[in-house]
Amino acid sequence: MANNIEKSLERVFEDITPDVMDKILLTLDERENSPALGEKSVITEVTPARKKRTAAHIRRWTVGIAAALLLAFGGYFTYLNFAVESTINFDVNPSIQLTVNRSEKILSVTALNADAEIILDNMDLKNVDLDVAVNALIGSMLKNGYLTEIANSILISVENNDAAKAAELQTRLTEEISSLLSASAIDGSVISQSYTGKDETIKSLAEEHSISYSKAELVSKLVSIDPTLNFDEVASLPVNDINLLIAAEKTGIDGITADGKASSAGYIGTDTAFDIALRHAGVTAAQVTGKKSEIDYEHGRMVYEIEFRTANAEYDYEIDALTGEILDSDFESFTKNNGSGQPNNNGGGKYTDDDDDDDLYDDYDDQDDDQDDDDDDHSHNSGGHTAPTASSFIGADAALSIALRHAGLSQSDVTVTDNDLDEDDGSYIYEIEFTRGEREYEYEIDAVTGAVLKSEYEDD
Amino acid sequence: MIIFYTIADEQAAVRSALSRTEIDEAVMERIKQRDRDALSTLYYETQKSVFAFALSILKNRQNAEDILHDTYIKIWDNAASYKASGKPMAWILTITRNLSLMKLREHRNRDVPLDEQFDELAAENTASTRLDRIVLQNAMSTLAEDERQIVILHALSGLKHREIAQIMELPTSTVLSKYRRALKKLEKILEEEN
Repeated sequence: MANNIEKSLERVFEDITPDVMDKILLTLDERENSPALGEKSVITEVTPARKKRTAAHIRRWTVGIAAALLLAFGGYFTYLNFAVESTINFDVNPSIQLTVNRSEKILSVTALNADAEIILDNMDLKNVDLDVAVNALIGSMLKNGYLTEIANSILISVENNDAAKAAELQTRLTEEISSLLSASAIDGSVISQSYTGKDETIKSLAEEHSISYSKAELVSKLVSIDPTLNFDEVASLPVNDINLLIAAEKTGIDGITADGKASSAGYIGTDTAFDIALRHAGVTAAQVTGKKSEIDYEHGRMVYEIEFRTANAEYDYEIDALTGEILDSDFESFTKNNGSGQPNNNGGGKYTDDDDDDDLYDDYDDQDDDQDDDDDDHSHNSGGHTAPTASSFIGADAALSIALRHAGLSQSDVTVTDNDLDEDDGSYIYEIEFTRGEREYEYEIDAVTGAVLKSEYEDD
Repeated sequence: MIIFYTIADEQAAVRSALSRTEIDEAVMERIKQRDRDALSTLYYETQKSVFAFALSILKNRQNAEDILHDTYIKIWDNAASYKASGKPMAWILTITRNLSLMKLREHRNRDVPLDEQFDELAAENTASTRLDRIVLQNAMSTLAEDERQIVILHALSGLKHREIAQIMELPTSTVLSKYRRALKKLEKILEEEN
């Protein structure tokens, strides 16, 4: 019955899914032909011919220049001292904003959250040299425990209309802070970015999540490069975790440079996570033929995603990076020439081993591969066999018995959730699912021979 | 019930072969290398799953169509960050989900009623019957949010319950029980309709 409902849905969507491929291609064309957002074309105007000069004109001109010079000088003085040249944000957990003038003296210091107020605690940094101020701020963060070996990441964001100046500040501050940290025996990781501060979307996201504009900018860059993360989750993480996630991304992120390595010392570590997974699976390290691990953000927390393979099965684990708790596990066995001893000989040809390489991400189901190879000939029924009739099938009950026997269970042990005959390009299989406690089993049984084509179980 | 159907053209044959099996990692690789034909191949392999999932979240065909378009643009843009995992479908549908949820927020202040009547589609559609469309209509109007999304994901995408759980950010056991409950509800309604 379940299968019928699902097949109904499949058929409806076959009808109502619109074909937007042309629109997609058009969008791609449009983006390639027009300049990127934010770029403006600059038009320079050539000034028209010079005016002829008379003596009076020159006199007027000279007085004009003198006045202008005076004004300019006065203005320059102001410009030097009181105009905001750069805005610099520091984010760790505390979020602090500095504005400096052209001579790199502090014009203002603002605490953007409660942690920052603790750091600033009566510090008067007005008119102090930027370098001295940075020294004081980092010192305070170290003293108050916001920067430690386990949480060693700091984000520096520089806002300056002059891109070269912004870059120079970023590099210099990164170096300074790195050495300040290592002077306190901390292997720090400094992420730096430059930003314009004018993006309305970012502004509203920042307000919504009570984080600084600069942190919102960082999060939005990360989220746009990894669509499996969403803004809400990442916004609440400390910069250290965001740093870990950035490091886990395969490609770098434009506009962000990361110096040093984010500390994962607050977490249990991939080796420990791996051990936990092995123990749960009842597998020894010697049996492992390939493995992979990665830190990620899932189920609302930082997790290690551990995957490993043995000679005839693949295991997947998600382990809480803080506590070592196993959040999810999955196990899939590869049945090649399967348990019943008979290779299949209906529809699609023999089921054989495809690759013998130890590539970790080899196909999950070798049988499906063979089907695909045959279908590449674009013949619906390869081998010219005639479709079997219902009487040549073993029947749902027999299929269930086979599956149960394979799992080593009896019918009274389990709750059967699915037992359906399915047709897949000329070959017929029983799809069987049953659960026992926390464990869900899935089987595919060949409808004619009774061979176990696929078996897997997952724990929760 | 045994179903026979003939396949008219090559593309459909390839499509049906791949209908519930893994998408070729090679296609993803070619997309990374800016091969538009590969994007097109991926599109035709997966459009139904993406559209259906978006519709199950947004309940509005025009919005779902927008998300369908946006998903593949995002796939194209972010192909470089896709890590070969044997589960491209899960990655793609997570993108679809995030885009759909963002679109939902745009309508946050407006209540989006179910404005479509799926059982009243034009008769020219050939693959599905009126009964099939009634199934969808009921799925859209009587199931709870999660239940609807889970059933549609399971029916269209070929993903396992655990993979669905990851996309929906729910524990696997929750997905299982919502799935069963959803099917029961639909079965009951269909029995009554008949």
